[in-house]
Order: sequence, then structure tokens, then C-alpha cells
Amino acid sequence: MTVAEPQAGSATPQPRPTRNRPRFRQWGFGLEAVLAAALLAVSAVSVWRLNRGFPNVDAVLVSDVPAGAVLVDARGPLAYRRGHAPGARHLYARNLLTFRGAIGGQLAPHDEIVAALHRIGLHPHDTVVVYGDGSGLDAALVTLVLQVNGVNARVLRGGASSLGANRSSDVPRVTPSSASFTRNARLLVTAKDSLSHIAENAVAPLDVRSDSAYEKGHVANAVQMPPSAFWGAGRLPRYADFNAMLAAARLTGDTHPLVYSDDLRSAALAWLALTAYGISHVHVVSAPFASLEQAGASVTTTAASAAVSRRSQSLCWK
Amino acid sequence: MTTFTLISGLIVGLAFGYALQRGRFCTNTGFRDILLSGDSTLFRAWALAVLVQLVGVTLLHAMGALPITVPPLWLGANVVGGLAFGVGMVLAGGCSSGTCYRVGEGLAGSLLALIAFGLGVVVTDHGILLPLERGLRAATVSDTRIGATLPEFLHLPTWVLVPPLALVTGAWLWRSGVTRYRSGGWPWQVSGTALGLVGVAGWLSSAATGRDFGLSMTGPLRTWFASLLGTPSALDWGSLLIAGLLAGSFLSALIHGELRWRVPKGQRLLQSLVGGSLMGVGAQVAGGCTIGHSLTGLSVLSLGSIVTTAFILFGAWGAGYFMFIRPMRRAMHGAPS
Repeated sequence: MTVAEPQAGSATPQPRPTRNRPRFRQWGFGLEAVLAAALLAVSAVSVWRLNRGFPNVDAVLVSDVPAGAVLVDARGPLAYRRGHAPGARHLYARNLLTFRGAIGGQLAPHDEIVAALHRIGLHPHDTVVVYGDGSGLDAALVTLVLQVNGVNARVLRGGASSLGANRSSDVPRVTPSSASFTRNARLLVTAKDSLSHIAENAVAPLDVRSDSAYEKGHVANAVQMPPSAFWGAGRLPRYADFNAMLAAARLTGDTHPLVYSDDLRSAALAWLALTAYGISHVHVVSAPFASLEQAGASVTTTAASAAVSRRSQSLCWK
Repeated sequence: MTTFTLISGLIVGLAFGYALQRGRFCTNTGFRDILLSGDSTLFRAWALAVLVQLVGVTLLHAMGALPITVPPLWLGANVVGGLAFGVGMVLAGGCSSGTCYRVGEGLAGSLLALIAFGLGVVVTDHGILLPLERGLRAATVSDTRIGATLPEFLHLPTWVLVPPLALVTGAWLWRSGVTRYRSGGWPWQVSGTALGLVGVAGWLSSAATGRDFGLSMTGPLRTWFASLLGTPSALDWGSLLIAGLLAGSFLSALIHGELRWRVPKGQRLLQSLVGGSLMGVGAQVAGGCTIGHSLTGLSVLSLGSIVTTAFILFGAWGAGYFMFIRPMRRAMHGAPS
């Protein structure tokens, strides 16, 4: 039936029509109860989803040192000498980097890395727990390098501060190893290989430098998440905040992020958080952004993810 | 899109549409009732809905259970967009919520207004009116210079501001009697509480899909219309919310015998078209409408939402004056005593 519209826009609301009242009214209460129950269920599931921990966190973080595990201190020499976990071996993260000209720190050649692992007596079958300072940067880099070389390494939650008073200044006696380590070339990629992956659209470039560095120039189509998005106050961000930032950056579990930075330690921290979140195919560029530029990467200043940066400022550590 | 996004968006939308239709919830009608007859029934429902959300969202956020995003303060855009939306909703005969639930009831004029709303949003977002939006939004007031929320602006902790606000509003509402709206439906207490609870559920389930905002209509409508006009956008929680909203109000109208296809006369159609377009342009410029700003944004005490809502009401008052009040006064003065 078509009749003239009675009330929209008119000055006084009219009573609802009652002529066809109501064939289905007996369903009304049932529908209201169903809707209320569904709403309650959705809210409960949402609260759970928002506040759950990182699903894959056990792959990169531990709360307790397992029996028989090798402890590795990734902090600087001075901090190590002042006091470290009893028996902890020292592998300073920055000694795994080389600095060449203006490019900045990039991963040392494989033989130098292996030599460093030999010096502290590591074997590929060792279970290693790495700790650093609250920034997480050094521990993340050492853990990344160890995992790249096939060692089962994870970061100690809370870092050195979780050691409490249980510290020692004695340097443990270590028998150097001569084990061979196989490098995982998929996890840590060179600048040249990165360009091939980008050209094949096989990866999603993820810039983890600061906002200002990103604005000055970044790899074309790269989304940006600042280092603070991945780690703060000695811990991973809240699941909900991280999830929101990943959604804004359109990164999902199926994405293959190609992480680059000016500081390999920041890229390692991003790898750690992304892996803990459950993104299993993360690639880290083993050299800084400048090396990508030098290798001929297409660089632009057009922002692809301003929203991500804004979210990280407003949500992450508020 | 995950199953959870699909299901949660639809469920919240269904409940939202149902509650809107049962509560006859329309900011335009509520404000017009106050202006013309001093009836604040719908206004009280709106105040209660905001209050319930304000308390719920503040508590959940304080407990660390809910991340929130506060709409930014674009002063120029909030003022101009709010005014345009206010005028538009009077012309169209309903705000965004009112328009939606009336579409579910079968009002052709509201359907036309909704289509014009969506087109207005798209034209402003990436069409010929984009420079207007950019120009007005260029003067964004950064949240470092001035707070994006009222507590930040006043340099007060949220917990100092929210309880007194809740108490004052609650006391005013408590003193009001239980009244049903003239055209039937739920009493204002029921509709206000229901809409507030749906709003809180909206915040939660939207955040759980990574969206971090509550109920809104402008963004989701933009997604739908952009997709329909050939610029595919990923459908998200908000898109399903709109689908559920229309379905919910339709179901409610069907069940309660209030579903009728009604076609307005030509002038009303034209009014709906112009009003809907103005609403779309205004909402896109201001970054939200009476749902995104006046219902959801106010629940986080966003300054942008406060400014936009104030200017929506101001625009509605101006348009209402010329459309209803002045003609009424003229008729009264001209009428024989």
C-alpha cells in the first residue's frame, strides 16, 4: 500500500499507524531477548579478544629460564661487568654489527658472527635465553641473530631488571665451540634480495624508523610503525593496541612484512613483536635504509600510513 | 574480513536498528520537539544513552580493557560541517539515526535522504568537494597544544570530570517521569539505556576487530557508497553495522506492525534530497554525524564532538526557525483572535 508520508519533516510527530498492527508482535519479546543475549556474547568475546596475550609469544619470549638453558647477556661490557646473571655469557649486540661510512650499522659478515658464537661456546642445539636492558633492542638483535643461525633463542621477559639481586661479576669459564651454524636466509635478507622481493610483490615493506625519517623518504608503498609501537617499558604493547595498529597498516597473519630501519636493533624488535603476535613470515633487511637506497630501491615521500603513526602516539603507551 | 567482524558488526547493527526504531530515536525530532512543544522525551533518551556510554567506556578504558580513539578537533571543519549537517537534517526530516530507522519502516523520503547522504559523503571525501574538506580540516588543532578531549583541555584527570558530569545528568534524568514518546515505542528510559548499552558493545566489538571506535555512520556509509561507485573499499565492522542497522529497524517495524511503504509528495522528496546531501557533506567535513559525534564522540568527551554537536543543534535551530517557528508565529499573529 502506498500512502502519503505522514511525519518525516513535519512539525509534530504523529502516532504510528495501527491498521496493520501487528501480525508478528508475539515475536517481539523473543527477538529482544535474543538480541540482548547476542549482544552480551559479542561483548564478552570482544573483551577476551582485546585483552588476550600475544598468541605466539612463547616463540620469542620466556618468563623463566628453562633448566639447562644458556643465558646470554646482550648489554654493553660495562653493564655486564657490573653484574650479570650467574653463568651468563656475554655477547654484546653491537659487536654483531659493522659500521661502514655513512650507511650505518649493518649485520657483520657471517664468518664474524659465527666466530662470535664460537667464542661464547654456543652450539646450534643449545637452548638460549637472552636478556638486555629495558629497551629490548640489544636482546632482540642477539635473539634474531641466534635464531637466524638455527639456535633456539628467546628473550627473557623484563630483561636484566628481572634478575633482581641475583647477580654476579664473575666471568664464566667457557670452552669455545667449533660447531657449524646454518644461516636462515629467508629471515634475514640483504638489501639486494629485498629489492627482488619488493619487485615480485612478495613482501609488504614495513618502515620502523621514526616518523620524521619516514616523512623524509621511504621505500615506495612502505607502511610505517615507529619503534615505540613494538616495545615499551620493557614489554610488548597491549594486544589490542598492537592489533589496531596492524589493522591500520593492513598487516595480517598472512602478510610477509619486510622490515627495515636505520638501526638493525629496531628492526629486530619489530621482528620480535610481529612474531609474538603470530605473523610467521617476517623478513628483516640486514642493512639500514640507506643501503636500500644505494641498491636502487624506489624511494618516495608519499605517506602510506599516517594513521598508524597517529594511533601509536595516542594509544600505545597512554 | 573475519567471521567475528562479520557476526559482531551485524549483531550490534541489528540491536542498534531495533533500539532506534523502538525508541523513535532521532536527534532532529528530539530537538524540534523541545523547540516547538517543550517536549524533552527524546532529548532525555539521547542524554541517557550518552551517559550510559560515558560511564561504560570510561570504566572499561580505565580498567585497561578497551582502547579508544578520540575524534580530532578540526575547529573550522567541526563548525562548518556541524552547521551544514544541522540544516540538512531539518530539511531531510531526520538525523542520521532517524533517517536509518525510518528507512527500515518503509519511508521513501528517508531512503532518498540516506542515498543523498551517502553520495554527499563520497563527493566530499574524494570528489569535487574534497578541497573544501581539506581546507577546513587544514587548521587541525593538535592534541599537544589543546586537548582532544574535555579532560585534557581542562587539564583534569578523567575520573575527576566524569563522576560529577554523570551525577548531574543522572539527577536531572532521575527527576523526570517515565514517559513514552507520543508516537509510541519504548519509554525514554528503556531506549536510552538500550542505546547506551549497544554503544558500549559497539566500542568493544569494534575495537576487537582493530577499529577502535564506537557506533558511527559516516565512515561506514562512505565505504558502501565508494564501493558501489567503483572505488572498492574493504568492508569492515562498520559496514556490517550499517547493514544490521537497516535490517534491525526493518525487523522491529515488521514485528510491531509499523512497516508501511510511504511515498512523500514531490516537494518533500526534493527536500529530502537536498537535506540528505547537506547532511553527507557536513558529516564528511566534520568527521562524523549525530551518531559518530553526538552519540559516540561525546561518550569520550571529545572536544571535536562537543563542538560539532553544538553547531549541529545551532544549524538545526536556524533551519527550524525559518521552516517552523517563523511560519507558526506568522500564522498566530495573522489568525483572528
